Amino acid sequence: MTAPVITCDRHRIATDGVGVTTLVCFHGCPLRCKYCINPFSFAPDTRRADMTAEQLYQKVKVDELYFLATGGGITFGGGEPLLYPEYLSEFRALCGKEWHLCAETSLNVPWEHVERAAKCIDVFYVDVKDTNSDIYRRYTGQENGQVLDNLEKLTEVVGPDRIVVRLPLIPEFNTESDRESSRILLMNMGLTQFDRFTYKIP
Amino acid sequence: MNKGKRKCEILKTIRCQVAKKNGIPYTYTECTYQGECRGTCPKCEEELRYLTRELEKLKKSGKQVAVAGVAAAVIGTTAVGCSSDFLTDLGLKNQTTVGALAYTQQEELDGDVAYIPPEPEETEPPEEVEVMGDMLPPEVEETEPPVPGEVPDEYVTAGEPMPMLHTIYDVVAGLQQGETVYIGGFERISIQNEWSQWYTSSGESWDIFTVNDVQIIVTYYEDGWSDSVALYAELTTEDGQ
Repeated sequence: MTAPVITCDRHRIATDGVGVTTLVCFHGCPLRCKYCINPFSFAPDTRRADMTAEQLYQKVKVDELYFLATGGGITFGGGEPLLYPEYLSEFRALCGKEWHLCAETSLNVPWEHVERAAKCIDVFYVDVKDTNSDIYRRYTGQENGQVLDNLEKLTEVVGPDRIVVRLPLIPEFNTESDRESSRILLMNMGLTQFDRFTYKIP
Repeated sequence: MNKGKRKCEILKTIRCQVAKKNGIPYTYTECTYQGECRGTCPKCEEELRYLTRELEKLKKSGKQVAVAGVAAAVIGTTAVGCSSDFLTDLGLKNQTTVGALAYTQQEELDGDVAYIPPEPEETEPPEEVEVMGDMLPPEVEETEPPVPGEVPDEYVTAGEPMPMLHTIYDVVAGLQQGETVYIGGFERISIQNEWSQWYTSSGESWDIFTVNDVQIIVTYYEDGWSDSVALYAELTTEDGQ
């Protein structure tokens, strides 16, 4: 099978997690976030490379030495990488267990996708936006019930150590109080790792 | 030290440590380029390929190689663009970003024979650095060229650097084949060179940013967010390759 790869960004250091990483971005996203930084990830006319997992592996393995020496590997982003769980699984089979694989995901995909990815992804970076459904809907245009359900299940399946939850402060959409409410809710869900930051707008 | 330079130092340190750990002769050449860089260049890439080849040779000869984790400490104390909370969680915040990189330059490893890489490709800009805008013929220059170090307001739209895509495309269209252009001075812009390479070149060198045979070196200024900003698409050749 192939997946639409928008790009690879090599030599990312301590940006997407541990070690030296290559960011691989896929085309396609279920969300339409107001401040999306990668709008071309869902734009229909964005150029992309439909690559097999083998082709992608051949491209990125040039940095294997860096990956292994630093505990790094590949971070899959996009777009929504969990739209392609079979592809991720194929890639894992090719790269072996030593590469550290991460996924930057909204988790707003069917649970079956998450479940499949849980078997091959080491760490999930989950951008929950805000757990408040009204805020989430206003910001992304989508519902977040699936996100929270998936996050709860994923926590049970892989444990909190393999999940980093991104909690953005989104100007004009949520407040520090909203974000704290999200954090408390997620902590009660068993999550422990949070990445708090603020979206920049003009 | 700019971000690219720091990245270059980190990668170089990793290569040194892997070479030393495996007894591979390896001596790197000091980079003399003083300006902003992307953190890697053809010379660095050749060194990486050399080490990879040598490690493969060791494996094939039945010798055990040690790569896994040998340079983890280099990254562990080097926080390039990492968000603060996550670093804190990892226990890395407030650690030095420079000390871990200290090593003797031009170091000869025990018992080694100096590795002399192939003649490196030119990585320094020409004396007259061509800045974006200078390359545009007047008829296609629709906007004021950006000033290095300043970010035109119209480009700073939250999460939507798309206007830049068209600007860069215009620059490329105004160049002659074989020319090199250096574009700099933008915050929050990170050009992903591999993208264009996948669509425009034969794949001989994975890291060279080439469009229409024009080599483009883009620099950017770190603002703590740029690593999350992607600018991948639309850099296509006129024939769509």
